[in-house]
Amino acid sequence: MLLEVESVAWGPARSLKAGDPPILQDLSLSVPGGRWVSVTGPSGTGKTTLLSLCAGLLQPSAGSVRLFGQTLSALSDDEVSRLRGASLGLVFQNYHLDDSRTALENILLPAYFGRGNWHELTSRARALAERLALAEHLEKPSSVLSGGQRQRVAICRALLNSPRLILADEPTGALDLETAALVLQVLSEQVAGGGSVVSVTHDSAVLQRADLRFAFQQGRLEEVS
Amino acid sequence: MSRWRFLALEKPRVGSRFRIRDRILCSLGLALGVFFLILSWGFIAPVEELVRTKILGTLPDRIQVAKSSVSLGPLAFGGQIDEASIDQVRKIPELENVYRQAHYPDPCQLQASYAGEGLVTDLVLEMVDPGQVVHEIAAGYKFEDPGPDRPIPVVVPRAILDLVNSGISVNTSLPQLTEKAILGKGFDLYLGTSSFRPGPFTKVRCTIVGVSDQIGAGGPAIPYEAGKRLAKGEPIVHALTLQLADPAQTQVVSQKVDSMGLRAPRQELASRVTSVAAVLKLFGALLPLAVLSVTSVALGAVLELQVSKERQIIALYRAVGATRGQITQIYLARAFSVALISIIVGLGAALLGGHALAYYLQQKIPSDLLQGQSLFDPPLFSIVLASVFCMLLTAVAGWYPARSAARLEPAQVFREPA
Repeated sequence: MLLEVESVAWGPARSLKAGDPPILQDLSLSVPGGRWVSVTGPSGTGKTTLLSLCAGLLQPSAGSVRLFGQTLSALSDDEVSRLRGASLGLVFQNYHLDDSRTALENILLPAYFGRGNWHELTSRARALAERLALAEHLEKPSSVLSGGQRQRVAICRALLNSPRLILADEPTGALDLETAALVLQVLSEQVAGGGSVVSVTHDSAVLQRADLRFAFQQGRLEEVS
Repeated sequence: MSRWRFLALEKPRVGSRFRIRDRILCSLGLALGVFFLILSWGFIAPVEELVRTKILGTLPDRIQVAKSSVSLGPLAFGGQIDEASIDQVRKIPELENVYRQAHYPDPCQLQASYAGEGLVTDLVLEMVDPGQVVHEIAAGYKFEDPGPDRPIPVVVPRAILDLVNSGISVNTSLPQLTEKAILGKGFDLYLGTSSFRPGPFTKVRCTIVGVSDQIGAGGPAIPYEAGKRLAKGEPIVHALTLQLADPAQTQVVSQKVDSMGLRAPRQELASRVTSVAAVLKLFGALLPLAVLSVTSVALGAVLELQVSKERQIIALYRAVGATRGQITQIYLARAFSVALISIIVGLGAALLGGHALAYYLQQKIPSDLLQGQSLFDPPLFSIVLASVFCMLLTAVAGWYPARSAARLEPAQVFREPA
């Protein structure tokens, strides 16, 4: 399993202290290699929180998250950061680009913190940008890009390190049908190559691509057909 | 180098969050501290040296002592140091040499030609052991008893040149005297006679071989042995110059000669000059340190503000794999870039400003006094000290913002409005 979420609960520490129930509770999810898992559910049910827990950006209040066979709570913060940088691709709902940098620099951000070959990663960044129709925008500041272009930059950044697992929050939210299909094609190739994708989405096109579909129902995750 | 690749994110460039102009503005306060420290220390040491050696006539490894209670530098009135006292002083273990300075015991008159004018004057002739002035003798000349019928070498006190240049030359049409102009020139001495005490005399020819800061303003000096050979009476030793093996022993030797009833008036003045210089150096370090401290607090506040503005970017860095250590280093690198600019700007301004000010001041001071030495000579230590202060305070100032940046929780920050 690339990702195993076991009986995880999470809520803001202050709320839990005040006796409020956790936002997520008794949540389990297993993601094997070569699979596309999609998670859906109403707004505010904790979909983005689930992705943050899977990425080690949040610590569960109960239960455990195992990523590539390693229990995240047993690793140091630096080890989790390195694991995230080397093997995980994150696509955020709001893209989270550094608007003081160009599109290419944004795609290359993970390379600054890792130790991969810079020239190879730059070539890969350019190839990904070409694939997602961004080649002519690479030298532009990301602040001047449209919403769809920014989302594609974020997807290129997530794919840069050839991650084994991609956690994508609404990966096609800002894309037109044609570009969305292109992005889904690229993500499908990732799955075909043995990697996995966990996507949080309301987009039926994304749901159709998924091998496993889960839905949030009353704070719990249940598999749906 | 891939280990430090993330620091390239801090490379100053057009459109970066911490712009080059902001870096320079942040650097100005720190640069001011570096500037003050290097400038003040650069002037204090040469001015102290100038006052000690050229005005007071003292050297670090020498103490001049006299017996009288009334003295004008080494020119002592009424106090003769007897042979027994000299022997006692010679036994002080910390001393390498003892040089005598004596009044020539007989009347003396000088006759010379000065710019075409005849000059006849009575004078106080001094006798000194050659070692006392050996470092002041011009290249190619010797200061020792040449034996009978040969010109006697003479050193002239710089104070006499200053007296002639600032008094006699100003009020007459006579030219200014410089060391270069009088070297090798001669005059006649009539030993045994003067306007007040005419008598049988011996005429000797003298050649000027140097200008001295060591023999005070009394009169020209000839080698002690030459004077002894020519004098009818016994020389009146009125001052001793004690050469120390280790300049650090000055205080010890001063106490010993004090217990022998001898005084070191110039040394006392020189000690005061040194004390004043030490106090100035302390202030020269404390004031810039205060400036650096205040500015580094301001720098810390600026960096803290930047961290709060860049929360989303920091969270992004963390999400794509940056460790807390790398985030800390990014902000420390930012602080150090400011320190580096400060050091370069402060050092450059201090060197340029210091040399310009020294050049201006040197135009106001007689060139003979400086003899080509600059009034501004910053010790390497002051540059190192200023740089270390600057780096250290910047590290302290940058540490807290860097740590708070590293401690940000990305998931929490992503939920905040951008």
